[in-house]
Amino acid sequence: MKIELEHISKNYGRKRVLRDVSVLAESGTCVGILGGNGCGKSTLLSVLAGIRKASSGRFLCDDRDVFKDRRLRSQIIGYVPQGTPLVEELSARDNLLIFYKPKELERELERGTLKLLGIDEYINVPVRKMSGGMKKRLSIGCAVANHPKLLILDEPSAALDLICKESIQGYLRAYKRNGGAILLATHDEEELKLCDKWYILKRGVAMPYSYDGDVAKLIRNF
Amino acid sequence: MGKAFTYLRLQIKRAAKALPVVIMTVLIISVCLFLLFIMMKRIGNITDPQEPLKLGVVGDINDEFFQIGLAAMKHFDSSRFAVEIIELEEEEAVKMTRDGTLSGYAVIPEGFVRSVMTGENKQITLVTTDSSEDLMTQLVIEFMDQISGYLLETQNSIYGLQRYMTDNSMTDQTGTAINEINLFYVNLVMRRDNLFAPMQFIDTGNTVSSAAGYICGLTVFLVMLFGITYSPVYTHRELSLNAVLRSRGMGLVFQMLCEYLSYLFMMLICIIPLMSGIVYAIHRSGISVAEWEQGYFEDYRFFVLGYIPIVIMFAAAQYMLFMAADNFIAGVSLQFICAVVFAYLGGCLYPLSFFPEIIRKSAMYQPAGLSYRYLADIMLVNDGHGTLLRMLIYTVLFLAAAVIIMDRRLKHEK
Repeated sequence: MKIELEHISKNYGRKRVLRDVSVLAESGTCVGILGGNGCGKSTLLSVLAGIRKASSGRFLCDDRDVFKDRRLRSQIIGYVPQGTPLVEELSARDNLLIFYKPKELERELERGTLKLLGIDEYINVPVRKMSGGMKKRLSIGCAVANHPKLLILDEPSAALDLICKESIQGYLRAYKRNGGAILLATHDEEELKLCDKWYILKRGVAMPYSYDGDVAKLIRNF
Repeated sequence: MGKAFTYLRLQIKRAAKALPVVIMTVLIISVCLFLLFIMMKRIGNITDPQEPLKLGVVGDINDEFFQIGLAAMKHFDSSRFAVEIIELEEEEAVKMTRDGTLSGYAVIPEGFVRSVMTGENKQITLVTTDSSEDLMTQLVIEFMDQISGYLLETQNSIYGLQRYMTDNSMTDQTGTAINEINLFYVNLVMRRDNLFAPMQFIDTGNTVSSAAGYICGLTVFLVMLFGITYSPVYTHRELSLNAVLRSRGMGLVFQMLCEYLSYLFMMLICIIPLMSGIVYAIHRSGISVAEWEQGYFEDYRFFVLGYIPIVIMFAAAQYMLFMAADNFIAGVSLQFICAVVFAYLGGCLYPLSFFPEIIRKSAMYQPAGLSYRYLADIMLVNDGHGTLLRMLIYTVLFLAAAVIIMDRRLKHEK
């Protein structure tokens, strides 16, 4: 599977947030979108997830235009936003039921993705009583309900402790191994190591970057 | 569709978890409004129509003729049951007007009676409080106006009569004629019930009794306040879930409909039994509602069912406000402020007859006024289809606005 973003731009009125974003991602790879605060990372991911409309450009999945095919988008994309896309008053099980069929949910909890994410351990706990890490794992669990080919994550490790980060990164490594593509907006050093390709988003343009573990050098390029 | 149904079911489950707290809050609000109803009924003199209007008279009241007139008004006039005239010092009158004992007082200028006799016409000053631009004040002003008018007309006719007698060489009969005309006017003024007929309401088919008006107004206000109780649950602090659902192919209209329907369901299961209870409590407390006097039980059921379209409309309005607020405090404040303002301008808290014409007319086009009108129409067994249609249009507009707000917030939220 090949994911191509071709010359994507996004304007808010007269303000051009994204000018020219062209990114390539393939199965089994993780692409990191880097950049300073307010550079347009979240805007780019929400455009790809279909929440905002791109002003121009194409989003191709194996040469099929995702922007023009809603059904295709909902089939191939799993999106995890920065916030908490969960109903606080309900349990983990109820939240998952929005995305999974009951039988499918039980199967996933026994031996599938949800087991891998460790959600089975707190399946009946209301979301409002969960820690940040539990919520983030549950959000990912909801996002992968349709077994997406492309997982889009907006800073998944933000404000999480080391154990939670490791647990989420462990899952993302497994997702990659299984042939999924990941598009990740991040500031986290560990997540940068998870990526196979990096792009720095600067003044609305995505530029390829070769990350060699030198964070100070990376920051100078922001 | 299956996903939408699951989402609706889970929204109902979510809302049901908050139900015990919501029921407690609604009961407290209902008790407060019921007490307000009882209070308004007493202030509105619905139960005690015999309480007379008290007017003070100060200034130059020692004139013999004036004293005769006052004594006559106090003792012989049949309207003394409606108006009580009290002679007192100005200082005391000011104090009593301030504390509400008097509706106002009239200041009789020095030498008033003499001035009337000579045609000078000194003016009587009416003093009332600036905060009482209400029906009572208007009544007092009207009352004083009528008396001044009659005095002036009496003078004119006497002067006219004298001229007529002089012009027609009948001056020898002038004394008798003036006495006759004076007796005629004395008879007229003394019997003020001839001047002021008991107030009659023209039956336009649109007016409900005061008690029924308060019931309609306060219960509509209660429905409007319901949004406060569910603000913690439905106020959208963030829209991440809506964003994810959208990316998974569930459109905003579907999401909105599921959330709205769950809220509507909770509102209906709270409001309809509550209204049945309130109407039953009013019936049991012996409060007389003229519109329900005949065939009470039949009307009662019909009346309670009348809340269904009102709930449908306000559920949409409140859902739109939930969507507009991004935190709990803003959600509660918005619900409360909108409820009070629209209830006030819609005549739910204070009768519309006291408002300027523009507000009276606009009330018929805003949600609270429409709801009041709809309930009043049910009580009067009027055809309320036009009102119902307007309420339906409002429901659609509110829901459309909710989707637009949701869309805009999604586009601007990180």
